[in-house]
Amino acid sequence: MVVNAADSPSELHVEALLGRVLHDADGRKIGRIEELVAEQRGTEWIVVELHVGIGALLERVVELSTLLPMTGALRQKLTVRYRVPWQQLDVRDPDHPRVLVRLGDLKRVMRAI
Amino acid sequence: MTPIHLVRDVLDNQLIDATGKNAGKVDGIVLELRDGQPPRVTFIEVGPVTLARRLNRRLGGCVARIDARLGAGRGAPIRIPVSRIALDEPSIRVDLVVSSTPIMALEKWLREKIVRRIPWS
Amino acid sequence: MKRWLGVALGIVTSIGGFLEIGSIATAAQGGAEYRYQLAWVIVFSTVCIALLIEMAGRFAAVSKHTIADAMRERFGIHFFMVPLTLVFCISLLTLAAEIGGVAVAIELVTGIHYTVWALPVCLLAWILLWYGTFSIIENGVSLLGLITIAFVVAAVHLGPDWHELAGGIVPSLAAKQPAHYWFIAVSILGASVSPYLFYFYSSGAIEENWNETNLAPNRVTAAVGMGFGGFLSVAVLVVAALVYAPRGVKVEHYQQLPLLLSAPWGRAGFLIFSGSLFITCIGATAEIALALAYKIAQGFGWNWGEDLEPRDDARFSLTYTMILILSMLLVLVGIDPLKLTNLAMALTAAALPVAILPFLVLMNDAKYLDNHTNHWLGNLAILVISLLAGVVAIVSIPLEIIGGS
Repeated sequence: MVVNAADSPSELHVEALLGRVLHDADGRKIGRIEELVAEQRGTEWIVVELHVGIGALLERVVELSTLLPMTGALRQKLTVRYRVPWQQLDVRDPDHPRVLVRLGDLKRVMRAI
Repeated sequence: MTPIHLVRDVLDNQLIDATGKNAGKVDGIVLELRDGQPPRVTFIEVGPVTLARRLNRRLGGCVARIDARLGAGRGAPIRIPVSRIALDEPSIRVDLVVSSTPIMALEKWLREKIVRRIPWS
Repeated sequence: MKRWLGVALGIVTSIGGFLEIGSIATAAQGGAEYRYQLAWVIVFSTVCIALLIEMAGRFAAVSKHTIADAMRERFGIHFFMVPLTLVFCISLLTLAAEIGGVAVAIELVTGIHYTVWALPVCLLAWILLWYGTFSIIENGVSLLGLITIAFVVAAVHLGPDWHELAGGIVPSLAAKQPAHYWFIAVSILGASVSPYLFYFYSSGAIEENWNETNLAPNRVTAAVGMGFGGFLSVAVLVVAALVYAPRGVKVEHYQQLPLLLSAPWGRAGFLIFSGSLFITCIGATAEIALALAYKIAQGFGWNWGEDLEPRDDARFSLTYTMILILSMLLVLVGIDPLKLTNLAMALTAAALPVAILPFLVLMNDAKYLDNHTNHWLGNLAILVISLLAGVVAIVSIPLEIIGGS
């Protein structure tokens, strides 16, 4: 049940994507990939979206609301997080992942603190 | 459906085997890309080769060569199908007994070659 | 009843295990050169380490993770390598200083140079770890460490000016040589607030299967045990102020250290000092080697545990073996133990922000701690002390080196 396998072309490593800068269809920088979210469907885990941006990093790493109070512009900047559905992603080149739409069309999530 | 945060809740998390022994950390997660469908999580990877490769690709190659000397099943990333794991708190459970897998090869090698030769060990 | 006996044991072992070459040497130098002026640094350091120890125990008891385990899990391998490498390198220096301390204790009694004893001391520590259990190391050696109460007795015997001592508990600026003052101050801080301590403590809590019922006893042990331990450090400072300062002696060689107890008590004091140094440093040696092995094993997810037999955790056991050997080599090279101690303590202080801040983040994470996360006051205290220590250390270490000590 424990197998060795070299990577095949249809495979991708989560850790290879982690931290990569994501660009939109126009080549504009969106942010770094900080999280991949999957759903369990039956016995399978299906990847549904990526989370990108500083807000996504903080969501994963630290609960800022309990650590330090934050105000205004700083809070705005640190809570930027984009959710990128898998269908909008092009990862044929894992070193340079891209989104198939423009930055403005991405679902932007402001994290409530 | 509870979402599974692969980086926060799976990657780098502790694995515990069926006997309660530590089985390493999740060093990597493998996705299968499928045309016209969202990717599927297929395996988790465990072991120094995967870990070294994360830090530096060349280092990964180096570690793979040394690791291969530990015996069968080593020298390459060790994969466990995702169907064999269960997300649990505080660790992730694997329904395997790791002592019978290549995961414990280094531990076994050190035990046989060094620890057992020390008196009263 | 059993739980409170456990608290009593915890307090007693905290006291007995508090002093080691770092705290003895830095307090001695501080007392010799600045009399009671640096007493406030010991008070601050003690408060800081008591808070950190309480947090480490609380974290392990509630989350069922050790700190190193959670650090990798939460921050990922790339980030984890940073404090791992930094704390490892600096703790290795500290470990070498402790092995040197044991070797010096034997040299004091036998007259044979300390480098000869480096290998036997390393072997003794290894035997303790390989064949011993967590209890033997934590309790056995620390109980013997109660011999260090001799410093309190000596301090009272020598009769300090209590008024002047009380003044020293209030923070003050240097009366002379400010760069050197702050260097000694951060060295004193680094001696007490050592990151290896909280890795050790959280691992011990997991070894002993702590849960939420241990939280209250843990608070008491941390406050009272560390408090009394800090009291011992102050006693060393006081004795140094009364023994060295009137003689105009600066502590620059380890052979001067026994004067702390031989000045008031002659040959008996000399032997008590040597015994104290031996016991406290061998205890610290075992602790640091374990703490580093814990950190590595937990970071990589190996089987680990002092209560396991080495054949059940070969990687962990051989890791602390290698760590002991590496540190021993540093001692064999012949770096003066006192200089090595000062450097290790100051570097520890300089690295505190890197070691402590990720821990502080974890202590505020409800996923790990439920409703037992830190109070904002505790966060603030630790944040301020560690950042200040880091900044002052980074400034004062080069100045001290340039100043030619």
